[in-house]
Amino acid sequence: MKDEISNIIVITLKDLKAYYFKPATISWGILFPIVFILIFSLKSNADISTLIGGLISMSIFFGSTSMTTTSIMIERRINVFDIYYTLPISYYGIVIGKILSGLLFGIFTSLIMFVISIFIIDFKVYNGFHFILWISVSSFTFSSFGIFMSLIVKEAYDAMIYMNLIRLPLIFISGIFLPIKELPNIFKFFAYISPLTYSVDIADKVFLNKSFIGMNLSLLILTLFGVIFFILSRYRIEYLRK
Amino acid sequence: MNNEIIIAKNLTKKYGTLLAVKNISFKIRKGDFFGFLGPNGAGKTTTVKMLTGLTSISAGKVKIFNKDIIKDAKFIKKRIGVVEDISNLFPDLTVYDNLLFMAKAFGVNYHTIREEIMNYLEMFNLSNKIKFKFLSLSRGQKRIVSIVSSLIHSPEILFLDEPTLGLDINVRNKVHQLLLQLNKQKNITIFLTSHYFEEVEKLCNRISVINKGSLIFDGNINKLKTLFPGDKVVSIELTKPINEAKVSKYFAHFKIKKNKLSITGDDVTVILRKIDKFVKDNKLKIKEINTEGNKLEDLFLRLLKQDER
Repeated sequence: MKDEISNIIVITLKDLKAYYFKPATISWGILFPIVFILIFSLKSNADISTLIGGLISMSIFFGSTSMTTTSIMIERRINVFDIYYTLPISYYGIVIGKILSGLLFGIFTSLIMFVISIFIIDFKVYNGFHFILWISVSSFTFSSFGIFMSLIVKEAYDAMIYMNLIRLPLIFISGIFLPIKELPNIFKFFAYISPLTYSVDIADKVFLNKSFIGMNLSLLILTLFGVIFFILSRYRIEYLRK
Repeated sequence: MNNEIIIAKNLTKKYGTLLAVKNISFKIRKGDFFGFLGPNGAGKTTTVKMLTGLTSISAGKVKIFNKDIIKDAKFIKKRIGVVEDISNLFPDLTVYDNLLFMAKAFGVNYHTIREEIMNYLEMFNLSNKIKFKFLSLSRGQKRIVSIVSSLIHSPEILFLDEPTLGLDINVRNKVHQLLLQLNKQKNITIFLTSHYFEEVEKLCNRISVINKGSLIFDGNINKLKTLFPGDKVVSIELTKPINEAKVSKYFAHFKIKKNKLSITGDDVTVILRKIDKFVKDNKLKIKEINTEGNKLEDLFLRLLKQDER
């Protein structure tokens, strides 16, 4: 068990060192959400303080998924991913190591966004514990999602393309800019199967003290999404060994 | 036997409908320097991958250290080193960070890691590349760093798939020296696949040959020589089929297949003189003539030819 934990940390630290400054990670994980905040703070007539939670959720979404997708995409493309199969670590251990790097990067990007927002937006955090839970669970789920997506594509090059095909529409249907109740029915369906929706709902509770779905239910569903992607990723890693 | 460290039993690998490895079995003793030969696509790399847990096993069993490669994968992986057929480490990490990653993943004592890494890199004059990204190294340098990465945790068994491919002769000799030293002095068991026959002849005390997924030979080079008596073989292809009775009047050791004739003997000149007489006496014409020796490469080719028949 000690060896397993040690190897999980070794994989996480290696990922952070190797992929932290990759263009895809920086542009999609940090710059893209910052640009979004700036655009909305300058152009939008809406009260930007009501969007802050959703925007930070979005930055975690893009940060965590970019980190994990970039690392696995590069490693699969040049067959370096095989190294993990030679290490004395379980398949679950490999996934946890990868998730942790995405989780840490997600927390890092959300904190950057949070700090930047303090200077340009007037908002309030209603519950510090909920704030920590929201950032941690969102980062975990989105990392798992990024790992799963980059493992199911046949060609590693395609991972980021498919990822953006999924990520970009989700921004508009997950309750960040438009409340879910105001969405057409067809989009409501997609909103409820989007993990980002539940992260945004928890964020609304943290920053606006209101929740459309319910804080506990959203937290439970978001965690379930993460666990499902985590388990599927573990089996996908075993399958890819074949 | 107690000192059998690797046991493969009825090992089979299927990729869809393709049968890459067919029901092969072998045992390797502790301290063996085992050469695994075969033409391209014969199933060498697939076998190495099955033995090291890099790919699943369709049927059969692998036991290493008397433990099952699937059930006790972690126990086994901690004690083996693997160099795959392609040099792959993390491209964006430096040589040092890559080796540090491998050392930590295998639980090498933190205080000795740097010293170990430096010792190996100095051995191959690569200590000046320690801060270079793996990506920026030449093909040969990448190969060496990959080999070092498999040694850093002092494994008890080394699996080397074409380790010296693309290395110049000097570096290749250094790798040979290191491998012999590890095998003789530290009693490390080595499983080597290679396309360099002189390498296998120089290093291995035992060889197996795989062809089209099946094991066609297992033993040492002397055993292989006994399969093909006589030092030299001359093969000729004639313009028309030959009568065995006529051939036996000229040659003691030969094989006939339609218009192809292989003659074995100790001296090529003598065989050629006899062929000349045989051809003239029987008013035959030679379409093609080839000579083979008894070096490992020749024996290997003869073994493959025999298997094709």
